[in-house]
Amino acid sequence: MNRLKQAADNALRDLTVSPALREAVWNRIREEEASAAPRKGRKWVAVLLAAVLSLLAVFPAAAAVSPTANNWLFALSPSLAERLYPVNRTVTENGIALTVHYAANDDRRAMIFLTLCDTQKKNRLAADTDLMDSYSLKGAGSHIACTSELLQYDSDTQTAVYCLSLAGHKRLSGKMTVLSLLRFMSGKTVQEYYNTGFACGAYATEKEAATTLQKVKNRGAVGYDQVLSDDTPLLETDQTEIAIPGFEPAVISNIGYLDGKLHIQTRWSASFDNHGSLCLVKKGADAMDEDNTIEPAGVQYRTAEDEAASDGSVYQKHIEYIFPVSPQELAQYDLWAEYTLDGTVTEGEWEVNFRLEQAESRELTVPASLASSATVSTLGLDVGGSRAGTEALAEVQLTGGDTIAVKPLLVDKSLSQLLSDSSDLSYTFPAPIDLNDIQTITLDGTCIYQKDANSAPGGTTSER
Amino acid sequence: MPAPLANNRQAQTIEALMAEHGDGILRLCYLYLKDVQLAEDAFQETFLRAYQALPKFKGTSSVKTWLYAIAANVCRSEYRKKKPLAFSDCTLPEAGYEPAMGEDDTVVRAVLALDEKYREVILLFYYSDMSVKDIARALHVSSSAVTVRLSRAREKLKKDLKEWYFDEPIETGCG
Repeated sequence: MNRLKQAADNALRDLTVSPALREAVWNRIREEEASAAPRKGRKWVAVLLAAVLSLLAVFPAAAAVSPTANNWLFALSPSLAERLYPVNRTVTENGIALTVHYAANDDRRAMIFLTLCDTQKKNRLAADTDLMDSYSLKGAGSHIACTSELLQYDSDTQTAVYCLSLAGHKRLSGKMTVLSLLRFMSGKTVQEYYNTGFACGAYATEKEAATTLQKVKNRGAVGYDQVLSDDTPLLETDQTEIAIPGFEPAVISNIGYLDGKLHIQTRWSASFDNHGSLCLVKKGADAMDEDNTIEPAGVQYRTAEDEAASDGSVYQKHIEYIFPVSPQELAQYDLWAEYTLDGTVTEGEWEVNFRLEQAESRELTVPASLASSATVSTLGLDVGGSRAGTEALAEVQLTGGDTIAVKPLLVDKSLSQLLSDSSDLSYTFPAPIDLNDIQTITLDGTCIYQKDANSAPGGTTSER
Repeated sequence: MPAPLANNRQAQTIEALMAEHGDGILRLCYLYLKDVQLAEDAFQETFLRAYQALPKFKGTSSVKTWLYAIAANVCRSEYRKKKPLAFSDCTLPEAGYEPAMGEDDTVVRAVLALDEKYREVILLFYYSDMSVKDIARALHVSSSAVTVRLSRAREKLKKDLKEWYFDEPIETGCG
């Protein structure tokens, strides 16, 4: 510390921040938050998660954790959450608070941002928490298909942030939507492919078929039409019990040759979602590749005993792996395996009602040589009759210098477009964007929108 | 009971900043505005602005630099609004503050006696440990302007602070 500072601090050492002054600061902040007036119109704000992470990187002592949805929402405006639908609707079950923070639809796509928070701090949530497809959305009178993505996990507050993505529709906005969740799983065990060292050849003798594929119940097949058919023979179930070294979720319940192919039948103990696979890999290989690996076809099914051992969402099952390999060829291969084991499952009946807000959108004026039309909304960009090619990258530069680069997720070609070599391209942003923060938009390197301080931006704004 | 703040994480961050830098910010405000009450008002305004700007902070400077820059701009605004009395005789103002018992207040008196534009660069450079580049950015002036002001301020201080005189070179490029 330099001498001026030291001298000044010494002379002023009795001038310190009193508790009253500290409290006065907080009173000012609260007053400002309470009096912050909503901006005109519906103004969507958003931030790139990466920008929030970089913010947290410079406050290691104060906030050395991933951002929660609250941080994300407040990234541009402290009073943001007050203006967003559904205004933080929360339901708490089993000590887990599910909060829907934001939901919007622009007719092409819709996004719902929600958090799960373990209010009892029992570490039931984690960076790998899987909603197990146990969530559902119901709106406009019918179930709505959607996918979920875990965006961030904050270990301090034990809060996980998710984005549900679904196809947008005119009928979605303003209608009551119900999000239900039944369970989630954290802390799965994942074992990547490894050489089990199991000597298949010692057990693989000729067997007689016990049944065929079409006769087994609750079946699913991988490799059907290519390798399998209704008449594919299967082994008698549960004729043995042989452990595969290191393979925790299942045991070999029968093994042998049928119709010149190696069948390895496995019985999987009851689980929510244990899964895995077996492969044959050339002896001596350190890693799997196309040339040294034989992948099996597979048939999964449940016997009556499996059903009896199952309970609700926890299932016992059989999987029979079928390898097109002769006994002579088999001697050149090792059995490799990979698997994922259930983690901790937390159950509840979370149900939240909310309404999706109609996202603000704006039509853009685009060069006719590039496309017929373009519309940008807070959720994405849609380009009609694009001649830019189906891999055309869209880049959106925001105020402050951040740039979003997005590849098209959906490409449609009408009949006339097939002949004209043009496509309808849709781009979905990783997070909602405030349209007023857009500086430029480029498509395949060509600028299709530029915010000009001296004139109105190209295009017209609409809120349907 | 006051309403809880909407963002606990943001509030925790500001609380941590107040704990770490609060005293320094308050003293900076006092040295700038020469009045304890004005300094406390500026202190509140500084942390209010920091709270509001926190989500936009991108880390292009250190946290301390960012916070002190906010304080400097608050003080400038407050100074120009209220124009506290100048002290031609280098005495400490009658602003409810006395130097700590037994401490030499020569430096404080000398700094307080400077004109505002010299005082602010001296405070930001020596008290707030900001680089010339960061000071220029905070005050919205050029780096060369900051360098010139610092040189002139040092010349003025040199007369009153002979035994305190510090000879550190003023580097224009660091930040």
